[in-house]
Amino acid sequence: MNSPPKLLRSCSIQNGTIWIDGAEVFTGPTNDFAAFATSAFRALTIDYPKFYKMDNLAKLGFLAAEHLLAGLNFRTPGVADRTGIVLANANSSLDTDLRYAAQVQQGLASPALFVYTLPNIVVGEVCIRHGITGENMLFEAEHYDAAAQVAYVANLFAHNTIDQCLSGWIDLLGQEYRAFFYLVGAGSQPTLPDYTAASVETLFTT
Amino acid sequence: MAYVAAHNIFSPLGTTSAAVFAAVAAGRSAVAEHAGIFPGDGPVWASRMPEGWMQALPELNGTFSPFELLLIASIRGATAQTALALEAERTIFVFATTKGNIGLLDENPEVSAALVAKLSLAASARAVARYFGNANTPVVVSNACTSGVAALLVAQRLLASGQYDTAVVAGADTVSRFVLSGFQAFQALSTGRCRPFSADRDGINLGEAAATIVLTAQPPAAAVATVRLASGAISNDANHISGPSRTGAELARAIGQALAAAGLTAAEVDFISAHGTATPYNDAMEASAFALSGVQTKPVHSVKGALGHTLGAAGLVESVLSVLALTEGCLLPTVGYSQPMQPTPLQIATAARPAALRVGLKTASGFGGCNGALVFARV
Repeated sequence: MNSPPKLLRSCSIQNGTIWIDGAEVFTGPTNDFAAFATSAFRALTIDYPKFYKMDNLAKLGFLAAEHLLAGLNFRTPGVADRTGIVLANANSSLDTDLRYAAQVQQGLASPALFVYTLPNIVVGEVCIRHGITGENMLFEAEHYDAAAQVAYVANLFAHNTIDQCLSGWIDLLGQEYRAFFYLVGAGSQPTLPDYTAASVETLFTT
Repeated sequence: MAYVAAHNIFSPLGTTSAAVFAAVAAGRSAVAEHAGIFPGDGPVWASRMPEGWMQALPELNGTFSPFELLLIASIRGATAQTALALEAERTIFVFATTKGNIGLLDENPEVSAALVAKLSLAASARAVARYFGNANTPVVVSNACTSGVAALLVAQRLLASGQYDTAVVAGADTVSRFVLSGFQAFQALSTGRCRPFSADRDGINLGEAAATIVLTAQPPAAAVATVRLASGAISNDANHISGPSRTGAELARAIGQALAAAGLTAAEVDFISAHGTATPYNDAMEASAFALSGVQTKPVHSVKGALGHTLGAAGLVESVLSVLALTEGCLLPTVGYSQPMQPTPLQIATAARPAALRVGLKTASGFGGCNGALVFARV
């Protein structure tokens, strides 16, 4: 792309609430993620039964992506393969790992659960849902580092590897969860913030 | 583009790159029969570090986990004979792993905050980077079985951005009851030593190992045969979270993108170090991908029969072997290969042979639908 990429949209999910561009769009149960996820999914009124097979981390990412990418179509050549997903996470798939390990302790092992014992599966679920086939990367970090992420993603734009990117932070362990997704790409509206560490950090901390 | 300045493989077949390369070239395998996973289970074939391997590192035993020790031993193996400034601010550590310390769960420990902290991939990475005196927050890539390939590509990009001069890229994974039981639940384990790209292939062997490649933005000073990481690409099938695409189209696109970025054509590829896990689906998909990208007549090898599938380390272990294939001028055999698979048989060798090699292609695919391709070239 010719002009520097812009921060097009953001979606945040935390404490039973979903925000788009800072505006609250949904509130659900705050005491149990599984109950929140089910009610948030039903509110979408989409036909996607695969959702119910997902683990909690994948559900969180699915919901955030569904809101973030609403109305956008990636399933065309030249778009699908030039859309990237770059996410960061702290606890890997530990929420599911512990559930799976408990099964193994009982002498059981469910392949349907084992498949979710990798942190990048949530990326795969989003790719499947939206038809995204470009660069996909899952980084592990103890804390969200907006500067490092922005430098990496901006580099992908600068080298013409991608035209848009879903990026951000997603973490879930037990009842502690946070998704912060944002979409970067070409944007013509002058009010759109430039894609910088400062603009991302601002969104992350509000 | 980045230059390979140093490397190491620390594995059941040897603890130096040269030893492992010689073993693989000679057709040796570390895949052996081991006790079953659950009481009453039949044996499991896997490539495991020899009993007591940690005793060789007495000063570290007790401070670090087996997973962290594998990383440390490999990084030290790669860098001990070099003048590389590991503690420099312009040196970044990039790690690749799928499960890190997950083996700790095999002992059924009580779940506590302390255990959660020990299971953190980023925390293990930080401990290893600090051991080598580097204060930068390390980068940790966890992209299933493409992690090793992805980490090398990430490192190359970090060097190209001008932020760093040197990237120490290290990956490891261990064989644990956690992971073995999962692949067994998938019925993905072979009943013996795995048979990559063979008509009678029936599944994988798991393996544990660590590997390191040090990349530099500038070519090494010494006038020795040098290999550069010319380019790479990552894609996603967007099809299924555990099964590969039936067409191989997205892996083919990653291969094409990587070659184009390196300014090379399919014809210029001299060999392919494939993912070749020996599952019915993976090997068929890869063969399709090779055909789609025009490299199906090139010599192909898989080392999964020699070292098993080392998950997060695989892309790095196999890239080191690709680097040596280029510098030694030697095409590697595929241990375990039996009969050509149909309908798309590949050019697989059962014995090593010398050849003038200039360009090597490394491919990988993983759960979550990810694919990766790297192009290595002799300078």
